[in-house]
Amino acid sequence: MVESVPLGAYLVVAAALFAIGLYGALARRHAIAILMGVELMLNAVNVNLVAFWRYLSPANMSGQVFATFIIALAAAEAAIGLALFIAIYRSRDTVSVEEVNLMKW
Amino acid sequence: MSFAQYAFLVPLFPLLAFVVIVLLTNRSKRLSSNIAIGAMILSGILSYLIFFQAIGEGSEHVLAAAHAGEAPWSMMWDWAPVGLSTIQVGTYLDPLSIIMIVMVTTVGLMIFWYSQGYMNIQDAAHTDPLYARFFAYLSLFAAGMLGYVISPNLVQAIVFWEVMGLCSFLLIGFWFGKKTGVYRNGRWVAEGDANSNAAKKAFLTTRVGDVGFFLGIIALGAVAGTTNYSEVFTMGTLDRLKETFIGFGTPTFAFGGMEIPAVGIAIPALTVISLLLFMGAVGKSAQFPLHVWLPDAMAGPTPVSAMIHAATMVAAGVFLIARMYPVFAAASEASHGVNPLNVVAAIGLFTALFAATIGIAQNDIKRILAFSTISQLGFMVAAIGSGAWVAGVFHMLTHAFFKALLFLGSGSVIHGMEHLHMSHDSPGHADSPQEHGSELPHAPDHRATPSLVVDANAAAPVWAVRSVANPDDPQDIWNMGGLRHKMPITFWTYLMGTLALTGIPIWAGFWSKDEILAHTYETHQTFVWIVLTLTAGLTAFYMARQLILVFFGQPRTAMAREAKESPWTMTMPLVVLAIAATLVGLLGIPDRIGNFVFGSWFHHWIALVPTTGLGPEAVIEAEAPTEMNFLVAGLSVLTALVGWALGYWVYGRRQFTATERDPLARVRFAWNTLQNGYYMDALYRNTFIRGSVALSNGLARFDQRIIDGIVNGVARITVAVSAVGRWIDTYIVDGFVNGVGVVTEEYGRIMRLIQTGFVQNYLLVVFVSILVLSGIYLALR
Repeated sequence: MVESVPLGAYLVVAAALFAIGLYGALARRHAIAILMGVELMLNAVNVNLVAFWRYLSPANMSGQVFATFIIALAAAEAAIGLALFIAIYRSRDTVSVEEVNLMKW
Repeated sequence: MSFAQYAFLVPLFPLLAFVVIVLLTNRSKRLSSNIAIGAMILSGILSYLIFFQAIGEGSEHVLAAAHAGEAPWSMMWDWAPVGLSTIQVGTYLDPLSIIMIVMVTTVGLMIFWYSQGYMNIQDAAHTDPLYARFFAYLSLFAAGMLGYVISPNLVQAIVFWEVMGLCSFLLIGFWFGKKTGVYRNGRWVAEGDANSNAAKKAFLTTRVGDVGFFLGIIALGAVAGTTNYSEVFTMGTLDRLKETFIGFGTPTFAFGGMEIPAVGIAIPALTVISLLLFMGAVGKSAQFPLHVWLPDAMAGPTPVSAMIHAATMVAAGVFLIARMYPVFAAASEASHGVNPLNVVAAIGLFTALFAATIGIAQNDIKRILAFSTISQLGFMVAAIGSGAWVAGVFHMLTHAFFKALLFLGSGSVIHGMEHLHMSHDSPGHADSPQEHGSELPHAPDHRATPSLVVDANAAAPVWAVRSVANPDDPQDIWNMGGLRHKMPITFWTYLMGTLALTGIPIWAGFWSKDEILAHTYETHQTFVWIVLTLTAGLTAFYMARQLILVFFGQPRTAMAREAKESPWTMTMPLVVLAIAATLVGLLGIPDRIGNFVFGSWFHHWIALVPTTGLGPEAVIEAEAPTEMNFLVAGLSVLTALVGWALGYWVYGRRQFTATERDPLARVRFAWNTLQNGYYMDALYRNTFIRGSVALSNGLARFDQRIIDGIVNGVARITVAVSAVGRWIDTYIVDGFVNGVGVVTEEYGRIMRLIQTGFVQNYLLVVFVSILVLSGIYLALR
């Protein structure tokens, strides 16, 4: 059953996910949308990790452990990111990254 | 109890008076003069106690000390260690210094006493504003003179010698602020300026001699190892010094078996030392050619002239020769080339005659006395130089009394003459009570722009010329006349002094002068004897002239008509000094006059001095009895009487007027020469003064042109170099620095374009970079 779906398929899905996430992170103006894009890219990595673990070294748990770490990390990242956005919104009434340009020359 | 051990107090009392007056009682005039006089009295009492005790101890004590090679009564303290030896201070009392402290305190006390009246303490409106300071200076001077005569060595001597020089300077220029005009050197100058010029002249002229004196002390200290009299005046030291030479190079040296003669110079030490010490005496005692300061020193108040420039300080030079006589005598005995005593005698002899001739043609009452003083000092110097040591010292003693008397008398005359002006002065105008004479016609502008280049005439010496008679001059004898009725006490005391000076028998000057003349005659120094006798005649002539023009006949001006006798504070010292001038000569009368036998204790007592430490033979020789020489005495009295008679014949037979020319002025050339002192002042002005001014001006130009040129040139070069440096700095260094800035700025302007501030841009760059790098990686793998 497992063998019916080849590893390549997982990788394609993961690549698609990563591409979507990358597009969202690069192209969206809304900060939360960018954050969502980042989450997508992280999850694409998770898919890769789990797929490689299952197909290449099922005896080793490291793939799953990495994925679990990344999930936790993504949660923390989202929390911090959202907190930053709230702070920015409070001071500038916007979370559009084009208008948050203090570091610009 | 020996009073001699307290001799250090003799100069200390006046010194303390000076300190107290200057620091504490300066405001109180009468208290200040009382302190000065009190200190003088204490010194005088102590001096007399020492004197009488020394006489009491008598010749035996002196002889015993002489044999032991030490001064009879001396005390020494260590002062300054120098190398291996120690400079000592102390007191050195022998008959010579004891007679000097007695003389100085006696004459000094009289002069202090007199100064109160002269400075008008009895008249508050006319009291000198610097009255207290005057007494402070006088006290300091007395301390200097007393400290000098009791010095045990030449180092202490020159210290006090210079104190005297300083006081002389301060007191000659005492009235430095007088605004009235006087005629000097063919133009009108402020009298205060003339006074301070006279002070400077005196100070600088004596300084010339002092350089020699100081070098002499150094030379003596170098060859003898000490300047203590008690160590130098021993047969051992003097014998050693006789064969000592100072100089450079070697007398002979051997070269390959040959004796090469002397290379360099070797001078006999004693001769050099004697001549150098004599230089000091020439300056201080106003001997030719350094005599020019003394006539001008009369610019000082008259008590100063009496004290410093007649009785004491100018005698210090004679005292120096007398004190150092063993050295002079040893140098003469060694007879290496120049004989110093002959030099001393020659200078003294020339000065005596030279100054006496100038004295004939002077019109200022004090100036006549000044040249008389120079002449008499020449007498003393000639006496000591020709071996009449005792007579010379004796003359110094008698001269101090009668010349102080004459000066104080002249001061009294001047004071009386000023009475007319004094009584018309308003008190408000009395800031300088001795002011007299006309107001300055055109005051020299002292505030002129100071220039580095000096006018030689500005430093010209003071010289009064009668060709412009000043009818207001209270010192001009032609403005006087008939004063014997106006000022009888002054007249009689002045007469005593004049008789003493001219050597009329029984008055003091006769005995001392006669002793000198007798000695020179008996030792076959005929030339010296003739010249000195001639000088005595000239002395009688100019003193007769002065006495007649001042005191006899009828008053020639309103000043003389209005003259009043001076207050008792001035006349009493005159009386005391007149008695002294009359009687003091009796101390030194010869042992035998014809068939009468006297004991000249002065001669035998004081004669012990130059022999101190020189062994018993010298003492016995000096003790030989003296005898009156009737030929010499008769001739000298005859010459003096001829001088008096000539003086009467020229000046006494008729009444002159104030503006009349002197009868002797008909011999115009000789008269002008004498009146201008053989043009010695002009000579010095045209050589030394103009020379040094010209040299200074030359150096000033050298300074302005060459030195300043170098400095300015250096500055210009520096400016040029700086301009180049500035160009380099501006265009190269700054260009480089700015270039770095510009480059950085431009680079930053370009580079900042990539700093968009949009995180997404950065992320895109990261992504593209990863793609590119991955592509490269894959391609290269």
